[in-house]
Amino acid sequence: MEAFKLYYLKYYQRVYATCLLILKNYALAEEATQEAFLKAYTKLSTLKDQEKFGAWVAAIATKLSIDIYNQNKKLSLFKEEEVRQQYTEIWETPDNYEPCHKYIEKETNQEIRKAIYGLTPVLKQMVILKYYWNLTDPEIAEMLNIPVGTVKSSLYRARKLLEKKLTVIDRDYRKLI
Amino acid sequence: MKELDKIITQHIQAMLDAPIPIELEEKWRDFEKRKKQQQKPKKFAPGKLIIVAASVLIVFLVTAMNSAVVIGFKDNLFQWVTKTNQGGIVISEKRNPEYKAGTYHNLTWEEAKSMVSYELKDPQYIPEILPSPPEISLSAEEYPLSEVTIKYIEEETSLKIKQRNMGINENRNIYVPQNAEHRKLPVRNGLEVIVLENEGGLKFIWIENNVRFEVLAKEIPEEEIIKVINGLK
Repeated sequence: MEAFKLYYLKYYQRVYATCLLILKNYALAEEATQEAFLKAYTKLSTLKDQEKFGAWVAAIATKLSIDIYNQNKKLSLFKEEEVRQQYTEIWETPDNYEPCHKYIEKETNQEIRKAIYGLTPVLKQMVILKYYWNLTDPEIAEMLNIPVGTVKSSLYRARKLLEKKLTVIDRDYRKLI
Repeated sequence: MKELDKIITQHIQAMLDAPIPIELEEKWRDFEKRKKQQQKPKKFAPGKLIIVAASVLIVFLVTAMNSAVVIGFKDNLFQWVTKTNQGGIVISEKRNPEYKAGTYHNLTWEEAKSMVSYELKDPQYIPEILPSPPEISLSAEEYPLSEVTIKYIEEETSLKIKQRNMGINENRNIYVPQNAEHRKLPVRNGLEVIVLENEGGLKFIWIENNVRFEVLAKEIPEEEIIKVINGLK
């Protein structure tokens, strides 16, 4: 139990942030996170690689988050604006930038984050597991118990959507310079 | 495609690693509670329930009597249990307002005060540049949790003061992620606040009398913010 507590304390924040990005609701995100750790605790013996504990719990959490999202999607999300700001507001910009470039850089970054934030829960799940938790496509497929092809096609769709958005952002900001 | 992958990785990491104040030890206690509940067979035993409720009440009252002021909730009744200098016990009660969960905007100070079960602190000092009166909003969550935000915005300059009650649990820690730029700052009468720094502004967090405070300021000097914190009464 003590060892599990160490893992829990190490990964709680990141798993919670993962759920919050999908659910856009603090209470539901907490629920998904706690349930994910409970599931992880009971199924710990099935984890093949201890190094992947964080990603494994995150995969469980994203699955639960999507279930919770589907059950609650008709409800208006509480404090969603605050969550949106949490993920899209940019405070930091490099010091050595000219004020104009600094502004454009900040606005561009904000638009990119808004694009990620706006992805559907399933696409966000794939993007998070792939780019944040550094899982390979077969690993995602195994952890989510879905075919590798589904993972690849979801990631392809997510990339295409973000690429399209980035092209528009880039074009708009180039007009300003 | 590699450039796109790099951009996604960079942003998703920044988004998910951004500091979120979490009381980890409290979450762990909640996790342990859930684990125990999961392991217990679900049987309805009203007798046991009464014993547990009575024990909780006794434990609560014993704890309450050892501290100066303790808050408790029972249905819609909010109680202060106070021990006087003479050793007497005073229980004062206030009936809580009933309102639905959600966000309430454009409240007056009096309206906001009447909607919460804790003592809201009014900022006595506000930097001159900021407009008055502020925008006041209230977010009500699962009863009796609620958060009041007092917001002053003047172009790039902004000040947000958040006050949120924390139920009956005390001694909570403020979680600060390892990579976050932060420091402790003593302000008044032994009160220490956590300061999270970003190029765009400052965030001050502290817990006082079971209420969690957050002051978020942009384009305001730190000395001015300390005056604001010291002026919360």
